[in-house]
Amino acid sequence: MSLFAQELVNGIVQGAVYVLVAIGLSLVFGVLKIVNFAHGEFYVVGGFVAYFVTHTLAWPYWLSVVLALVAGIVVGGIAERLAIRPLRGAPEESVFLSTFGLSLVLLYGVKLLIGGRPRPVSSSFGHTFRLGGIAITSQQVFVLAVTVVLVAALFVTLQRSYLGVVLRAVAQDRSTGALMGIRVELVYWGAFAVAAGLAATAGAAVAPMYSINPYSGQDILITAFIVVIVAGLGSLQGAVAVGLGLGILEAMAAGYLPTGARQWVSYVLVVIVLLLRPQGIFPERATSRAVVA
Amino acid sequence: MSGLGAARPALRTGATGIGVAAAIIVVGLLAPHAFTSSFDLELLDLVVVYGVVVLGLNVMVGYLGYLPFSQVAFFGLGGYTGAIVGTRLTTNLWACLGIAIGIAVVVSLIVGRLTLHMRGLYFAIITLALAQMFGLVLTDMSGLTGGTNGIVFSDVLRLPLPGKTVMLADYVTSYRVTLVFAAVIVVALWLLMRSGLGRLAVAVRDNEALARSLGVRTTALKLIAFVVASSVGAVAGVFYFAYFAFVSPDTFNLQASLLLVLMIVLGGKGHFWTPMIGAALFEVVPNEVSISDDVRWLIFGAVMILVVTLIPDGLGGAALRALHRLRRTSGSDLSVPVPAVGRPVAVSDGPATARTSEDVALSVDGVAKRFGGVHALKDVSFDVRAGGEVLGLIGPNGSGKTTVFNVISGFTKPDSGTVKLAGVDIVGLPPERIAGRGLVRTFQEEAAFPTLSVAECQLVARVAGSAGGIASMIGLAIRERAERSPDGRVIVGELSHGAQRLVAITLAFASSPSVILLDEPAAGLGPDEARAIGDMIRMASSNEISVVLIEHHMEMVMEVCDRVVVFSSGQKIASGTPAEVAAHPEVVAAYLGSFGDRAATSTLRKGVSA
Amino acid sequence: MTLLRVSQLRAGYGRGDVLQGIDLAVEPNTTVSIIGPNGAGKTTLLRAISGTLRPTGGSIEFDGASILRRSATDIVTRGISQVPQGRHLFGGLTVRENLLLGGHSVRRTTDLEKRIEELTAAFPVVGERLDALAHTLSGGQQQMVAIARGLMPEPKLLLLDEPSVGLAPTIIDDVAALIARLKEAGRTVLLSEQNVPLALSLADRVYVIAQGKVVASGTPAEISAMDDVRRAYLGLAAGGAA
Repeated sequence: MSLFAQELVNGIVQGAVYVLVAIGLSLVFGVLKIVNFAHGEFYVVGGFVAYFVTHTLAWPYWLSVVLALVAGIVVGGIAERLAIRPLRGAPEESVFLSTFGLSLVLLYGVKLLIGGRPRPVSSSFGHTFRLGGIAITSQQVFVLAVTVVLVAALFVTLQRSYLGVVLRAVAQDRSTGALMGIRVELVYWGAFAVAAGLAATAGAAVAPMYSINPYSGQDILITAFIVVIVAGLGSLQGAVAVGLGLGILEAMAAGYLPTGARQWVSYVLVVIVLLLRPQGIFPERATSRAVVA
Repeated sequence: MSGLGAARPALRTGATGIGVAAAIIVVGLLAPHAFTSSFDLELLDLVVVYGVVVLGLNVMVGYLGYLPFSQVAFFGLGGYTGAIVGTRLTTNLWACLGIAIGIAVVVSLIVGRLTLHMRGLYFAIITLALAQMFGLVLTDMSGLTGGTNGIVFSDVLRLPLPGKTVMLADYVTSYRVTLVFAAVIVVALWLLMRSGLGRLAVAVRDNEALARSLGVRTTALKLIAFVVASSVGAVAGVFYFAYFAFVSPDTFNLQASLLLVLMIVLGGKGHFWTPMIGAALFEVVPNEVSISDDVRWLIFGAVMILVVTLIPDGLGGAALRALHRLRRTSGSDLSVPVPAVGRPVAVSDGPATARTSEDVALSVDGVAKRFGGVHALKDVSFDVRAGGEVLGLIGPNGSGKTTVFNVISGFTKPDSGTVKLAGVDIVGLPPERIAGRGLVRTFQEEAAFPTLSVAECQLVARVAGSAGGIASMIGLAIRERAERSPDGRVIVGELSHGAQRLVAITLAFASSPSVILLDEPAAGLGPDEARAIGDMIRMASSNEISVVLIEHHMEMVMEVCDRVVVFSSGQKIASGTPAEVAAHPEVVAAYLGSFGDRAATSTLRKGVSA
Repeated sequence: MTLLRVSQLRAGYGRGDVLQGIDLAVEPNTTVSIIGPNGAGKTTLLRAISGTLRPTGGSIEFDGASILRRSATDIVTRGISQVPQGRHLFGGLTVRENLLLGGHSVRRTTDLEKRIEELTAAFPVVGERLDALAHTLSGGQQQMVAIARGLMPEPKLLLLDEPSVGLAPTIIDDVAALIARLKEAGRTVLLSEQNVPLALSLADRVYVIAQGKVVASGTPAEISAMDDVRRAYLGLAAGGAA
């Protein structure tokens, strides 16, 4: 029983990371209607910032996470200008291909900056709590806290603020939005940058748990894609549910099934869902509400 | 303007290509003598092998418009099959090839059947997941595959031929054998794409609905393309193994998948052999410049972004485009000839005379359709007589006319009612089958297949309409090619609006159907072009093809139609000859209200206190 | 001074122009109707005026200044508000949110909440469903909301693109009554319609467009007597085929 509870905790933490990355991907798809193959690389950028700030600048770890968020937004904003905006109106494969190129630029850019070996990141969260046989580190608590704060902030903005109304409107019907006087280009830019910021924060938040590895972006990207597709394109609440769910499923597989089974979980899941229910588990929200219910 | 949304070039496989290819093969065979190091030979072999992989992949990417990430997995499947067969069964290269192709065909049939109906993005993701799973299989089943270490082949492959057996004992021999096989495959692939298959694939990519409504069996077509692409990838994999005598999972991972896509983008996906340029560039150029791997990939990424944003045709495609522009002859416009329709009969001028046939070609009975809360159609019934009757469907916007067409042609299933073509109920059949039985339709505002030439569009339509399966389709296509006229080479997308519409309509006639549905063919056209369309309708009618016409261009309707049916709010409110209908009070009311009817207009002026 | 003057306007989508030189004028505090068969260019004309579509030639002057090359966003701030054909409400947003967005261009200078109150007082139908999601409303209700949304920025010129399309006749009466009230309040309205009696009953001036050109213009009475109009719609001329 305690194995179950332990894996549950681990799974929720891992799931939180998936949520942070997947939500950005879903936001970009919902608002800009594009698939961003480079999204995982913002996660790597975040990890890199964490490393750079703590290791080279010797500043506190929590600050590096905040700076990762900022860096993600900045890098995302630049990327949108250079690789996405020039392709406005082009067929969707073109944008997809451009984001391929972008992912390579970011991946190898970071790799050149930190060298080939994975780099460790030290944080001040070293304590381990024990609650009834379950171990949970303060780092894990930190990850959860960061996720809750950011996701809550995103949802509150989308649901309660005028900015959220504008975002949701552009996601549903950009040309009518333009008719109302909304500066659609600005909205696109902002949405893309925020999504990148979320992914970067995720990368920084988990950096002390795993070392910084430039190739980790591709893995997390595929997982994020799977989460978004299984949830239903454009459904943010679905992405939260599926992200957590996948984290838990994988943890259970690691705990109870033979080694190596864990890696299969997400692929098997997406194949099953695409064959049986291709619109995703929570599509109704996706189609009628475009970004968030 | 940069290449934003520029029209994609059509698939051209001109005669210059043959000459160049032949020269390349000859040079390739002689090349090893010029090399001083085995490293150069290795590069050359990689160019050949990857060239074949991406040419196969481009069948899906360039022609059909799908992005299968699974190609690298089939490449790996071929390599590993070769390795496993070679180490455990036999060193006979034919056996390795045969088994690899067999497995690839079976697997791609299954995968394709399950995934090809999906939209592009979903297809890409599911093939990505499958490719990743293949990678996991390679590392997990280490007993068979050698796990992360791969398989090292220390024996010698042999290729038994009538006369002698070639032993692939050294790099040069392996390379030459690879080159010969690659040449054969590429030529075969080229012939296949040049025949109807290539044009049909582009047609499906450009306008799948229209292709289906003309009778193209799109599911079979996509499946064939996928099987071909995947099998070619597998064969390339066997030859990769043949040269390097070693396979490992690292060669067939996500990175490799990206590399394949990069090659196609860089070389250009709009032509048959331009992806090979990408393969060559990727293998050769970085080795001329000594930079680290990481910098190389960084540059690849930047190049990719630049190419996609600035040169969407790829380098090869852009070069060809420039060449094409220099050599271009007539960019003729409205002089597009209307091709012969079945049995040529003189066009009759003036209003069509009453048809004598009492047979009913098409009968719509009690059809109803709701979309959510909206009653698009409520109990619609009408007949179309065989032998060339022209029936007009008129009515205000939103009255259900296009929905009726969608129901008749199989794109929408009605909630109730029947649709009978020559007495047989066709409700529930998909559009391509209905087309096979002799009913085709056109779409509002659609310009046929914009990246094909006029003649190619005709080809597609003729081939689509022929009964009897894919083989006869290809045979027919090859014969058709010989009969092309010079004007037919104009690309549809470059024609004027009116001319594009004319082409689209000729496609409907090309398969000699018994009934044609035309959805607003004259919309937005000038009087000359509208007249041309009227002529075509009369010609069809003289050839005993019945036509149902949705139009707002009233003069045309009045001149060309034998009978008219009037729709309003999903119901038929009148039918009869054009003159009868125009005088019918309800029709006038539906369209115009009664002029000078004070009672009618005053109800609309109900004043309301503020 | 003429509020809107369109001269020799040409516009189209890609190859070939739909509008072949339109001349049209709208005086302040009047309602002008544009009628004509489908495909004639009515919607194209309104889109060119609102900036959604870039014209290829001619000129458009609004309130004394040229708006030919300006973006939709800019034109909204100058006082032209368009209610697009088919309403195009943001279905997943509430009615209130839709209205707020209508006032987007003036949100800094106007008290939007107050504006919404004024509009819901004038159009009770809208007020009843303020917190409902727009896609749950009926066609007629959506049309009312769309018009209210168009009025949020207090525009000098309101463009209505085929407000009656897809609506049942009784609902059309309600919409017509609403537009009549706008007239009485002194609004300037440019209205395109396929429903000729509706268009004629509301207009001070009528333009008939066919094949991208103005073929007739005048008062409603003059227009309803003209043969050309009958012909454009029914293909019947006084004697002889085309």
